[in-house]
Amino acid sequence: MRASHVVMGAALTCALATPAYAYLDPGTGSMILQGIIAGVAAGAAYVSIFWSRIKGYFSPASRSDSNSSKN
Amino acid sequence: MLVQVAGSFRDPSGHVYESNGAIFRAIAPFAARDYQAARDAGVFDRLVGENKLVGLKEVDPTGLFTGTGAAAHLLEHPRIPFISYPYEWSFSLLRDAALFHLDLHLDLLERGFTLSDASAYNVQFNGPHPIFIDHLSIRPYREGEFWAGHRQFCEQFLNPLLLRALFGVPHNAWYRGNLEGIPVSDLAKMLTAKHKLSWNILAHVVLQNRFQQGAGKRADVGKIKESRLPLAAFKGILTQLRNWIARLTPDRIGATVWGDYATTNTYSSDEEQAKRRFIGEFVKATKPKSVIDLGCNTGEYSKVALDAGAERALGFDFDQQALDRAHHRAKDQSLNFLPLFLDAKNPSPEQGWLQTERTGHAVRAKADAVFALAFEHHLAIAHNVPLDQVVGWITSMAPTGVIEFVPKNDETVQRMLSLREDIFPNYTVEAFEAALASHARVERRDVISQSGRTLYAFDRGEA
Repeated sequence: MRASHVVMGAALTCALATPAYAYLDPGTGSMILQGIIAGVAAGAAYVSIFWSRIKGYFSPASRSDSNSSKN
Repeated sequence: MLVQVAGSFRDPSGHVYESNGAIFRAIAPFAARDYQAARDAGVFDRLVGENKLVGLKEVDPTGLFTGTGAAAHLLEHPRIPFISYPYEWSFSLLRDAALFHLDLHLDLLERGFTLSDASAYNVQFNGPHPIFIDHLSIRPYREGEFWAGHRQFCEQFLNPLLLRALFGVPHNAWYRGNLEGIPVSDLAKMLTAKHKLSWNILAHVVLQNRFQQGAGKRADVGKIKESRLPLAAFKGILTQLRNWIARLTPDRIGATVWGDYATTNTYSSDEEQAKRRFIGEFVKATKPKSVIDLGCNTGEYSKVALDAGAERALGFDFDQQALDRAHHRAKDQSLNFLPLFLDAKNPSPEQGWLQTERTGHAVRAKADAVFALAFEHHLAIAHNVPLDQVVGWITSMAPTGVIEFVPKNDETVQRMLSLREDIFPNYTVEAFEAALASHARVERRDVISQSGRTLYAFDRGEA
């Protein structure tokens, strides 16, 4: 509990202390959009891992392999 | 001494200076660490070697730089032969610049670096070849950081391309007026429901705009700054944009424009041959290193000049489709030829902050020789510009060149006058020759068409 607090605190401090050298205003709309895309991408990545596991159950190689273990 | 370049003030990490024709960049102390990180990781050397970044050489600031504040480093750069602005690029050039920028960014992310902004003015062209000019935009990537340049990329690269791809409207006039590109909010207002079915348009235009509109009411802007964008997602955004932009083509054009230009160019009449010979002989005799081709169309005569020994050609034309084809020709045939958009009766002015940030066309468009082939009548007849002023403008661009005079009885001029009153009593070959003689010596004169089109090789006689 305490260790994770320290890590969280450090991470937030890093995020807040990161100096923005860029002279330009990124635009809040752009930042929110990127947050959403990140969520979609993470979701898509999870789905693709899940999907390749499903495909693995149905592929001929795994059926004939008597040693295949279900995860 | 060093004179600060007027357009270089936005980014405090470094300013660009010029002195006696050389270009220098002074790096501020607070930006030195990021610069050193990129330099020591070999990023600059590699990119310069691949011809993607302008060369740099560290020089001793003492004696050269006594500007305000110390300079941690002073870099010297070779000059780009001709500086052009995104509002002077054709659709094809702008698209290449966008793809170049995204590819560069992806390449840097692979190596732990990123671009801190996405200004289209950081990309320049040597012939058809894009090159990056802002070394200080390259800095170490910080884990989880957002793409700070996304909005700027959309406004300066994506939206102008979409204006042409979705609506068939060229970006040049709007971009030149706005200077910072096409605002997301403006493009969003133009979209139809059908456009919004595309995820890419929905995300980068509609949603970005909607979130921006609501942003003022958000109390948790601080929370946004704390959230993270994983590197894989960052690369994913860039890659998806890249693939999308690579597929964009101008709306509402005939398929033939994008066809192979060579098949539409095989026939060559005697008159074209005579013109080619004249230009070729002129270039061989006067040996200009740089040529300006006014009304370059698809770049046929720029190619003749380059084949005859000129080192680089700068083309200007008003026709968007011709410019895109000229750019394809330059790439396909590896010509050092850069075709740019120019409305001759309204060239790019000085503008921006203090009206000196971006230089005007007149200052930049200078060369060793200028060609104005099948051009002057478009100004003198079609747009009522006095003939002597047209000749004066053309001869001001270069000390030597070739101008083609198109007489009134020529078919093209007759067509221009078919629905108008002939208000050009002084549009005669004598008046043209008198105007030309008042600016330069006529070295050679050849009638090259049955209708009386005549080529004049001139020389202003300056050293």
